[in-house]
Amino acid sequence: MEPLTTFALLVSLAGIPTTLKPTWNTERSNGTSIAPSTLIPSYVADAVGISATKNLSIDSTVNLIGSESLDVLNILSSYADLVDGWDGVDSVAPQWQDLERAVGFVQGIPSSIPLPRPMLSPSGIVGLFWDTEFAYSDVHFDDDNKMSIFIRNRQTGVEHFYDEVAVENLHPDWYFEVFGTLANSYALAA
Amino acid sequence: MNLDNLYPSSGNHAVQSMAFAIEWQGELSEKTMHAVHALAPILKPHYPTAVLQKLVMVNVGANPGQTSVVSNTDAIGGVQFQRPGKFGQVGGMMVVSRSNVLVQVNDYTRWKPVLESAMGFFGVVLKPILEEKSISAVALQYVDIFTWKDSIANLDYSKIFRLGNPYLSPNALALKSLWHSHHGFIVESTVPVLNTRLDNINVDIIENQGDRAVQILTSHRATMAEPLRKASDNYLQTIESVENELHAVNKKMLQALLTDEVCRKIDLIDK
Repeated sequence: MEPLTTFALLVSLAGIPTTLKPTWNTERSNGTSIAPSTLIPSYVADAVGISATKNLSIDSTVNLIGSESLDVLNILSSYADLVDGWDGVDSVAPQWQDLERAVGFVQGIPSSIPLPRPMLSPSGIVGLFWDTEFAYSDVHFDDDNKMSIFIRNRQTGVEHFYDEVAVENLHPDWYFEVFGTLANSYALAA
Repeated sequence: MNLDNLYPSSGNHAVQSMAFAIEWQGELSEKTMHAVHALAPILKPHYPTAVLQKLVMVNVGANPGQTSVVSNTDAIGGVQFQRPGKFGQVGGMMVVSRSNVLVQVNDYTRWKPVLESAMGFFGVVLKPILEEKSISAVALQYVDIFTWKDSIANLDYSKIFRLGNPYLSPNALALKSLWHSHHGFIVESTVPVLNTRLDNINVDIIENQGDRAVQILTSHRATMAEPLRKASDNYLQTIESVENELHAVNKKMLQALLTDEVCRKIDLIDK
Protein backbone atom coordinates (compact mmCIF):
# COMPACT_ATOMS: atom_id res chain seq x y z
CA MET A 1 0.00 0.00 0.00
CA GLU A 2 1.31 3.44 -0.89
CA PRO A 3 2.06 5.50 2.21
CA LEU A 4 0.57 8.65 0.70
CA THR A 5 -3.08 9.02 1.48
CA THR A 6 -5.54 11.64 2.51
CA PHE A 7 -6.67 12.51 5.97
CA ALA A 8 -10.03 11.06 5.07
CA LEU A 9 -8.49 7.63 5.04
CA LEU A 10 -7.28 8.13 8.59
CA VAL A 11 -10.81 8.94 9.58
CA SER A 12 -12.24 5.96 7.78
CA LEU A 13 -9.89 3.64 9.64
CA ALA A 14 -10.87 4.94 13.04
CA GLY A 15 -14.08 2.94 13.39
CA ILE A 16 -16.38 5.94 13.85
CA PRO A 17 -19.99 5.05 14.69
CA THR A 18 -22.47 5.87 11.96
CA THR A 19 -24.56 7.98 14.31
CA LEU A 20 -21.75 10.47 14.94
CA LYS A 21 -22.42 14.03 13.86
CA PRO A 22 -21.02 14.72 10.37
CA THR A 23 -17.83 16.73 10.42
CA TRP A 24 -18.75 19.85 8.50
CA ASN A 25 -16.27 22.52 9.36
CA THR A 26 -18.46 25.15 10.98
CA GLU A 27 -15.90 26.54 13.37
CA ARG A 28 -16.38 30.26 13.76
CA SER A 29 -13.53 32.40 12.59
CA ASN A 30 -12.20 35.11 14.88
CA GLY A 31 -11.20 38.19 12.99
CA THR A 32 -11.05 38.55 9.28
CA SER A 33 -7.87 36.55 8.94
CA ILE A 34 -8.19 33.44 6.85
CA ALA A 35 -8.49 30.02 8.37
CA PRO A 36 -5.25 28.08 8.96
CA SER A 37 -6.02 25.75 6.07
CA THR A 38 -6.56 28.68 3.76
CA LEU A 39 -3.31 29.43 2.06
CA ILE A 40 -4.06 31.19 -1.18
CA PRO A 41 -6.05 34.42 -0.99
CA SER A 42 -6.33 34.75 -4.73
CA TYR A 43 -9.39 36.90 -5.08
CA VAL A 44 -9.63 40.44 -3.87
CA ALA A 45 -11.83 43.34 -4.79
CA ASP A 46 -11.20 44.36 -8.36
CA ALA A 47 -11.56 48.05 -7.74
CA VAL A 48 -10.38 49.50 -4.47
CA GLY A 49 -10.58 53.19 -3.80
CA ILE A 50 -12.66 55.92 -5.23
CA SER A 51 -11.12 56.11 -8.67
CA ALA A 52 -13.75 53.87 -10.24
CA THR A 53 -16.65 56.21 -9.85
CA LYS A 54 -19.52 57.36 -11.96
CA ASN A 55 -22.47 59.67 -11.65
CA LEU A 56 -25.67 58.19 -10.34
CA SER A 57 -28.90 59.09 -12.00
CA ILE A 58 -31.09 59.32 -8.93
CA ASP A 59 -33.35 62.09 -7.80
CA SER A 60 -31.36 64.15 -5.40
CA THR A 61 -30.44 67.71 -4.67
CA VAL A 62 -26.81 66.88 -4.23
CA ASN A 63 -24.43 65.61 -6.85
CA LEU A 64 -23.70 62.15 -5.52
CA ILE A 65 -20.98 59.91 -6.79
CA GLY A 66 -20.90 56.19 -6.34
CA SER A 67 -18.40 53.45 -6.85
CA GLU A 68 -18.81 50.41 -9.03
CA SER A 69 -16.79 48.36 -6.61
CA LEU A 70 -18.69 46.28 -4.09
CA ASP A 71 -15.85 46.11 -1.62
CA VAL A 72 -17.68 48.58 0.53
CA LEU A 73 -15.49 48.52 3.62
CA ASN A 74 -12.27 49.11 1.70
CA ILE A 75 -13.79 52.04 -0.12
CA LEU A 76 -15.21 53.58 3.05
CA SER A 77 -11.75 53.30 4.57
CA SER A 78 -10.24 54.99 1.53
CA TYR A 79 -12.60 57.94 2.02
CA ALA A 80 -10.72 58.72 5.24
CA ASP A 81 -7.70 59.75 3.16
CA LEU A 82 -9.60 62.52 1.41
CA VAL A 83 -8.95 66.15 2.28
CA ASP A 84 -10.99 69.28 1.67
CA GLY A 85 -10.96 70.15 -2.02
CA TRP A 86 -10.90 66.47 -3.08
CA ASP A 87 -13.60 67.16 -5.71
CA GLY A 88 -13.18 70.82 -6.49
CA VAL A 89 -12.49 73.89 -4.40
CA ASP A 90 -15.77 73.76 -2.49
CA SER A 91 -15.75 70.05 -1.76
CA VAL A 92 -15.42 68.84 1.81
CA ALA A 93 -13.75 65.74 3.24
CA PRO A 94 -16.01 63.36 5.16
CA GLN A 95 -15.99 63.27 8.96
CA TRP A 96 -14.28 60.19 10.32
CA GLN A 97 -17.17 59.69 12.77
CA ASP A 98 -19.56 59.35 9.82
CA LEU A 99 -17.24 56.85 8.18
CA GLU A 100 -17.10 54.81 11.40
CA ARG A 101 -20.89 54.82 11.62
CA ALA A 102 -21.15 53.69 8.03
CA VAL A 103 -18.68 50.85 8.63
CA GLY A 104 -20.58 49.76 11.74
CA PHE A 105 -23.85 49.90 9.83
CA VAL A 106 -22.45 47.69 7.05
CA GLN A 107 -20.95 45.19 9.48
CA GLY A 108 -24.33 44.79 11.16
CA ILE A 109 -26.23 43.92 7.99
CA PRO A 110 -27.47 40.30 8.22
CA SER A 111 -25.87 38.06 5.65
CA SER A 112 -29.23 37.43 3.96
CA ILE A 113 -29.19 41.03 2.75
CA PRO A 114 -26.67 41.99 0.05
CA LEU A 115 -23.98 44.50 0.89
CA PRO A 116 -24.54 48.08 -0.25
CA ARG A 117 -22.23 50.27 -2.27
CA PRO A 118 -20.69 53.40 -0.74
CA MET A 119 -21.11 56.93 -1.97
CA LEU A 120 -19.82 60.33 -0.98
CA SER A 121 -21.14 63.75 -1.86
CA PRO A 122 -18.87 66.74 -2.51
CA SER A 123 -20.26 68.25 0.68
CA GLY A 124 -18.76 65.34 2.64
CA ILE A 125 -21.96 63.38 3.31
CA VAL A 126 -21.24 59.66 3.57
CA GLY A 127 -23.85 57.36 2.12
CA LEU A 128 -24.64 53.82 1.07
CA PHE A 129 -26.97 52.57 -1.62
CA TRP A 130 -28.45 49.43 -3.13
CA ASP A 131 -29.72 49.29 -6.68
CA THR A 132 -31.14 45.82 -7.34
CA GLU A 133 -33.86 44.25 -9.41
CA PHE A 134 -36.15 44.42 -6.38
CA ALA A 135 -35.46 47.75 -4.77
CA TYR A 136 -33.49 50.95 -4.72
CA SER A 137 -32.39 52.27 -1.35
CA ASP A 138 -29.96 54.83 -0.02
CA VAL A 139 -28.76 55.72 3.45
CA HIS A 140 -27.19 59.04 4.42
CA PHE A 141 -25.22 59.49 7.64
CA ASP A 142 -25.76 62.86 9.28
CA ASP A 143 -23.55 64.73 11.74
CA ASP A 144 -25.71 64.09 14.80
CA ASN A 145 -25.31 60.30 14.93
CA LYS A 146 -28.51 59.94 12.93
CA MET A 147 -29.22 58.69 9.45
CA SER A 148 -31.90 59.08 6.83
CA ILE A 149 -33.11 56.21 4.69
CA PHE A 150 -35.02 56.04 1.43
CA ILE A 151 -36.26 52.78 -0.06
CA ARG A 152 -38.37 52.11 -3.13
CA ASN A 153 -39.79 48.65 -3.84
CA ARG A 154 -39.44 48.20 -7.59
CA GLN A 155 -42.09 45.48 -7.70
CA THR A 156 -44.83 47.45 -5.97
CA GLY A 157 -43.64 51.03 -6.39
CA VAL A 158 -44.11 51.62 -2.67
CA GLU A 159 -41.65 54.09 -1.18
CA HIS A 160 -40.61 54.68 2.42
CA PHE A 161 -38.53 57.46 3.94
CA TYR A 162 -37.09 57.31 7.44
CA ASP A 163 -35.50 60.38 9.01
CA GLU A 164 -33.58 60.92 12.24
CA VAL A 165 -32.86 57.21 12.70
CA ALA A 166 -30.32 56.51 15.46
CA VAL A 167 -27.32 54.66 14.07
CA GLU A 168 -26.39 52.72 17.21
CA ASN A 169 -27.60 49.36 18.50
CA LEU A 170 -29.38 48.26 15.36
CA HIS A 171 -30.83 44.77 15.73
CA PRO A 172 -30.84 42.32 12.79
CA ASP A 173 -34.64 42.36 12.95
CA TRP A 174 -34.56 46.09 12.29
CA TYR A 175 -32.55 45.53 9.12
CA PHE A 176 -35.18 43.05 7.91
CA GLU A 177 -38.03 45.37 8.70
CA VAL A 178 -36.47 48.19 6.68
CA PHE A 179 -34.44 46.40 4.00
CA GLY A 180 -36.22 43.05 3.78
CA THR A 181 -37.14 43.75 0.16
CA LEU A 182 -33.46 43.48 -0.71
CA ALA A 183 -33.05 40.05 0.86
CA ASN A 184 -34.34 38.10 -2.13
CA SER A 185 -31.20 36.24 -3.13
CA TYR A 186 -33.15 33.77 -5.26
CA ALA A 187 -32.37 36.24 -8.02
CA LEU A 188 -28.77 35.10 -7.81
CA ALA A 189 -29.72 31.70 -9.11
CA ALA A 190 -31.80 33.00 -11.98
CA MET B 1 -33.86 29.34 40.44
CA ASN B 2 -34.80 32.51 38.59
CA LEU B 3 -34.76 31.93 34.84
CA ASP B 4 -34.45 35.68 34.29
CA ASN B 5 -30.74 35.04 34.87
CA LEU B 6 -30.56 32.60 31.96
CA TYR B 7 -29.63 34.59 28.85
CA PRO B 8 -30.14 33.27 25.32
CA SER B 9 -27.13 34.22 23.20
CA SER B 10 -29.07 36.56 20.92
CA GLY B 11 -31.66 37.98 23.26
CA ASN B 12 -34.90 36.75 21.73
CA HIS B 13 -33.35 33.52 20.46
CA ALA B 14 -30.41 31.34 21.46
CA VAL B 15 -28.95 30.54 18.03
CA GLN B 16 -25.29 31.50 18.09
CA SER B 17 -24.68 30.07 14.62
CA MET B 18 -26.34 27.73 12.20
CA ALA B 19 -25.44 26.05 8.94
CA PHE B 20 -27.03 24.50 5.90
CA ALA B 21 -25.11 21.72 4.18
CA ILE B 22 -25.43 19.69 1.00
CA GLU B 23 -23.33 16.60 0.33
CA TRP B 24 -22.57 14.44 -2.68
CA GLN B 25 -20.85 11.12 -3.21
CA GLY B 26 -17.14 11.23 -3.98
CA GLU B 27 -15.10 14.34 -4.59
CA LEU B 28 -15.37 17.16 -7.08
CA SER B 29 -12.74 17.45 -9.79
CA GLU B 30 -10.24 20.27 -10.00
CA LYS B 31 -12.11 21.60 -13.02
CA THR B 32 -15.35 21.92 -11.08
CA MET B 33 -13.58 23.57 -8.14
CA HIS B 34 -12.26 26.19 -10.54
CA ALA B 35 -15.76 26.61 -11.97
CA VAL B 36 -17.08 27.23 -8.45
CA HIS B 37 -14.35 29.78 -7.80
CA ALA B 38 -15.28 31.54 -11.04
CA LEU B 39 -18.73 32.23 -9.55
CA ALA B 40 -17.25 34.80 -7.16
CA PRO B 41 -18.45 37.86 -9.12
CA ILE B 42 -22.06 36.62 -8.94
CA LEU B 43 -21.84 36.06 -5.19
CA LYS B 44 -19.93 39.26 -4.50
CA PRO B 45 -22.94 41.34 -3.36
CA HIS B 46 -23.38 38.88 -0.48
CA TYR B 47 -19.85 37.51 -0.12
CA PRO B 48 -17.28 40.12 -1.21
CA THR B 49 -14.29 37.89 -0.53
CA ALA B 50 -13.58 34.53 -2.14
CA VAL B 51 -10.62 32.55 -0.88
CA LEU B 52 -9.13 29.43 -2.35
CA GLN B 53 -8.27 26.76 0.19
CA LYS B 54 -5.38 24.49 -0.43
CA LEU B 55 -5.74 20.72 -0.42
CA VAL B 56 -3.53 19.29 2.28
CA MET B 57 -2.30 15.74 1.86
CA VAL B 58 -1.08 13.68 4.80
CA ASN B 59 1.73 11.20 4.36
CA VAL B 60 1.05 8.28 6.69
CA GLY B 61 4.01 6.06 7.45
CA ALA B 62 3.88 2.56 8.84
CA ASN B 63 5.72 3.51 12.01
CA PRO B 64 5.33 6.33 14.57
CA GLY B 65 7.18 9.46 13.53
CA GLN B 66 6.82 8.76 9.83
CA THR B 67 3.67 10.87 9.41
CA SER B 68 4.09 14.24 7.75
CA VAL B 69 2.01 16.81 5.93
CA VAL B 70 2.65 16.99 2.20
CA SER B 71 1.29 20.05 0.47
CA ASN B 72 0.14 20.02 -3.11
CA THR B 73 0.22 23.66 -4.11
CA ASP B 74 -1.77 23.12 -7.30
CA ALA B 75 -4.83 21.37 -5.90
CA ILE B 76 -7.84 23.27 -4.56
CA GLY B 77 -9.28 21.88 -1.33
CA GLY B 78 -12.16 24.30 -1.18
CA VAL B 79 -13.47 27.75 -1.97
CA GLN B 80 -14.57 29.96 0.89
CA PHE B 81 -16.89 32.91 0.20
CA GLN B 82 -16.95 35.34 3.13
CA ARG B 83 -18.58 38.55 4.22
CA PRO B 84 -17.49 40.84 7.05
CA GLY B 85 -19.39 40.95 10.31
CA LYS B 86 -19.22 42.90 13.54
CA PHE B 87 -16.02 43.31 15.54
CA GLY B 88 -13.79 41.93 12.79
CA GLN B 89 -15.54 38.58 12.74
CA VAL B 90 -16.80 36.79 9.68
CA GLY B 91 -20.51 37.62 9.41
CA GLY B 92 -21.32 34.64 7.26
CA MET B 93 -19.69 32.38 4.75
CA MET B 94 -20.22 29.67 2.21
CA VAL B 95 -17.61 26.97 1.86
CA VAL B 96 -17.54 24.61 -1.10
CA SER B 97 -15.25 21.68 -0.38
CA ARG B 98 -14.60 18.67 -2.57
CA SER B 99 -17.41 16.75 -0.88
CA ASN B 100 -19.96 19.27 0.38
CA VAL B 101 -21.16 22.84 0.39
CA LEU B 102 -21.88 24.63 3.62
CA VAL B 103 -23.64 27.95 4.19
CA GLN B 104 -22.85 29.21 7.67
CA VAL B 105 -24.90 31.95 9.30
CA ASN B 106 -23.42 33.74 12.31
CA ASP B 107 -26.15 36.37 12.54
CA TYR B 108 -29.31 34.25 12.54
CA THR B 109 -32.52 36.24 12.66
CA ARG B 110 -35.55 34.49 11.22
CA TRP B 111 -35.88 31.12 9.52
CA LYS B 112 -37.59 32.19 6.29
CA PRO B 113 -35.16 34.87 5.05
CA VAL B 114 -32.14 32.87 6.17
CA LEU B 115 -33.40 29.78 4.31
CA GLU B 116 -34.24 31.81 1.22
CA SER B 117 -30.80 33.35 1.08
CA ALA B 118 -29.12 29.97 1.53
CA MET B 119 -31.24 28.56 -1.30
CA GLY B 120 -30.17 31.45 -3.49
CA PHE B 121 -26.52 30.66 -2.82
CA PHE B 122 -27.07 26.94 -3.39
CA GLY B 123 -28.76 27.78 -6.68
CA VAL B 124 -25.59 29.47 -7.84
CA VAL B 125 -22.97 26.91 -6.83
CA LEU B 126 -24.98 23.75 -7.53
CA LYS B 127 -25.08 24.44 -11.26
CA PRO B 128 -21.44 23.43 -11.92
CA ILE B 129 -21.49 20.84 -9.13
CA LEU B 130 -24.49 19.00 -10.62
CA GLU B 131 -22.63 18.78 -13.92
CA GLU B 132 -20.40 16.27 -12.16
CA LYS B 133 -22.16 14.95 -9.06
CA SER B 134 -25.61 14.16 -7.74
CA ILE B 135 -26.76 15.34 -4.34
CA SER B 136 -26.97 12.59 -1.76
CA ALA B 137 -27.71 14.42 1.48
CA VAL B 138 -29.18 17.65 2.81
CA ALA B 139 -28.36 18.83 6.30
CA LEU B 140 -29.02 21.49 8.92
CA GLN B 141 -27.11 22.35 12.06
CA TYR B 142 -27.70 24.74 14.97
CA VAL B 143 -25.59 25.84 17.90
CA ASP B 144 -27.71 27.32 20.70
CA ILE B 145 -26.12 28.97 23.72
CA PHE B 146 -27.66 30.00 27.05
CA THR B 147 -25.50 31.78 29.62
CA TRP B 148 -26.23 31.60 33.34
CA LYS B 149 -25.60 34.97 35.01
CA ASP B 150 -25.91 33.97 38.65
CA SER B 151 -24.16 31.79 41.19
CA ILE B 152 -23.74 28.16 40.20
CA ALA B 153 -25.33 27.25 43.53
CA ASN B 154 -28.58 28.68 42.18
CA LEU B 155 -28.38 26.79 38.91
CA ASP B 156 -30.83 23.91 38.61
CA TYR B 157 -30.64 22.06 35.31
CA SER B 158 -34.08 20.55 35.85
CA LYS B 159 -35.49 24.05 35.36
CA ILE B 160 -33.78 24.28 31.97
CA PHE B 161 -34.16 20.75 30.66
CA ARG B 162 -37.53 19.02 30.75
CA LEU B 163 -37.72 16.19 33.26
CA GLY B 164 -38.03 12.85 31.50
CA ASN B 165 -36.88 14.23 28.17
CA PRO B 166 -35.62 11.45 25.91
CA TYR B 167 -32.27 13.01 24.99
CA LEU B 168 -30.45 13.41 28.32
CA SER B 169 -29.40 11.00 31.02
CA PRO B 170 -31.41 11.70 34.20
CA ASN B 171 -28.11 11.80 36.09
CA ALA B 172 -27.14 15.02 34.32
CA LEU B 173 -30.02 17.06 35.65
CA ALA B 174 -29.01 16.56 39.29
CA LEU B 175 -25.41 17.67 38.77
CA LYS B 176 -23.85 20.99 39.70
CA SER B 177 -20.58 20.21 37.94
CA LEU B 178 -19.73 20.37 34.24
CA TRP B 179 -21.09 17.60 32.07
CA HIS B 180 -21.85 16.68 28.48
CA SER B 181 -24.34 14.43 26.83
CA HIS B 182 -23.97 13.55 23.14
CA HIS B 183 -26.62 11.49 21.44
CA GLY B 184 -27.02 10.46 17.81
CA PHE B 185 -29.57 8.22 16.15
CA ILE B 186 -30.99 7.34 12.76
CA VAL B 187 -34.61 7.76 11.73
CA GLU B 188 -36.20 6.38 8.57
CA SER B 189 -38.37 9.11 7.09
CA THR B 190 -40.64 9.67 4.14
CA VAL B 191 -41.02 13.42 4.61
CA PRO B 192 -40.77 15.21 2.25
CA VAL B 193 -38.99 12.47 0.27
CA LEU B 194 -37.80 9.00 1.22
CA ASN B 195 -34.68 9.50 3.33
CA THR B 196 -32.61 8.18 6.19
CA ARG B 197 -32.10 10.92 8.72
CA LEU B 198 -29.24 11.17 11.17
CA ASP B 199 -30.14 13.32 14.17
CA ASN B 200 -27.56 14.47 16.69
CA ILE B 201 -28.24 16.36 19.90
CA ASN B 202 -25.10 17.22 21.80
CA VAL B 203 -25.46 19.13 25.05
CA ASP B 204 -22.37 20.59 26.71
CA ILE B 205 -22.25 22.46 30.00
CA ILE B 206 -19.23 24.70 29.68
CA GLU B 207 -17.41 27.56 31.38
CA ASN B 208 -17.57 30.64 29.23
CA GLN B 209 -15.58 33.66 30.40
CA GLY B 210 -16.34 32.95 34.04
CA ASP B 211 -19.98 32.10 33.51
CA ARG B 212 -21.64 28.72 33.23
CA ALA B 213 -23.17 28.19 29.80
CA VAL B 214 -25.39 25.60 28.18
CA GLN B 215 -24.40 24.79 24.60
CA ILE B 216 -26.76 22.69 22.52
CA LEU B 217 -25.57 21.49 19.14
CA THR B 218 -28.30 19.91 17.05
CA SER B 219 -27.66 18.55 13.57
CA HIS B 220 -29.86 16.71 11.14
CA ARG B 221 -28.71 15.04 7.93
CA ALA B 222 -31.18 13.52 5.48
CA THR B 223 -29.57 11.01 3.14
CA MET B 224 -32.02 10.65 0.28
CA ALA B 225 -32.98 7.29 -1.17
CA GLU B 226 -32.98 8.83 -4.64
CA PRO B 227 -30.14 11.31 -5.20
CA LEU B 228 -30.99 14.64 -6.74
CA ARG B 229 -29.50 15.00 -10.20
CA LYS B 230 -29.16 17.74 -12.73
CA ALA B 231 -32.15 16.26 -14.54
CA SER B 232 -34.24 16.10 -11.37
CA ASP B 233 -37.25 18.35 -11.60
CA ASN B 234 -37.14 21.26 -9.20
CA TYR B 235 -34.13 20.01 -7.26
CA LEU B 236 -33.87 23.33 -5.45
CA GLN B 237 -37.47 23.07 -4.28
CA THR B 238 -36.79 19.55 -3.01
CA ILE B 239 -33.75 20.76 -1.08
CA GLU B 240 -35.79 23.60 0.37
CA SER B 241 -38.56 21.18 1.41
CA VAL B 242 -36.03 18.93 3.12
CA GLU B 243 -34.49 21.90 4.96
CA ASN B 244 -37.95 22.99 6.11
CA GLU B 245 -38.60 19.48 7.43
CA LEU B 246 -35.24 19.40 9.22
CA HIS B 247 -36.05 22.75 10.79
CA ALA B 248 -39.39 21.38 12.00
CA VAL B 249 -37.66 18.30 13.41
CA ASN B 250 -35.17 20.55 15.18
CA LYS B 251 -37.92 22.61 16.71
CA LYS B 252 -39.70 19.51 18.04
CA MET B 253 -36.48 18.14 19.51
CA LEU B 254 -35.72 21.37 21.35
CA GLN B 255 -39.30 21.59 22.59
CA ALA B 256 -38.92 18.07 23.99
CA LEU B 257 -35.54 18.92 25.52
CA LEU B 258 -36.24 22.30 27.12
CA THR B 259 -38.82 23.29 29.71
CA ASP B 260 -41.79 25.39 28.66
CA GLU B 261 -40.39 28.42 30.46
CA VAL B 262 -37.12 28.23 28.56
CA CYS B 263 -39.00 27.62 25.31
CA ARG B 264 -40.98 30.78 25.95
CA LYS B 265 -37.77 32.77 26.40
CA ILE B 266 -36.74 31.90 22.85
CA ASP B 267 -40.21 31.99 21.30
CA LEU B 268 -40.26 28.24 20.75
CA ILE B 269 -43.84 27.73 21.90
CA ASP B 270 -46.33 26.75 19.20
CA LYS B 271 -48.97 29.39 18.78
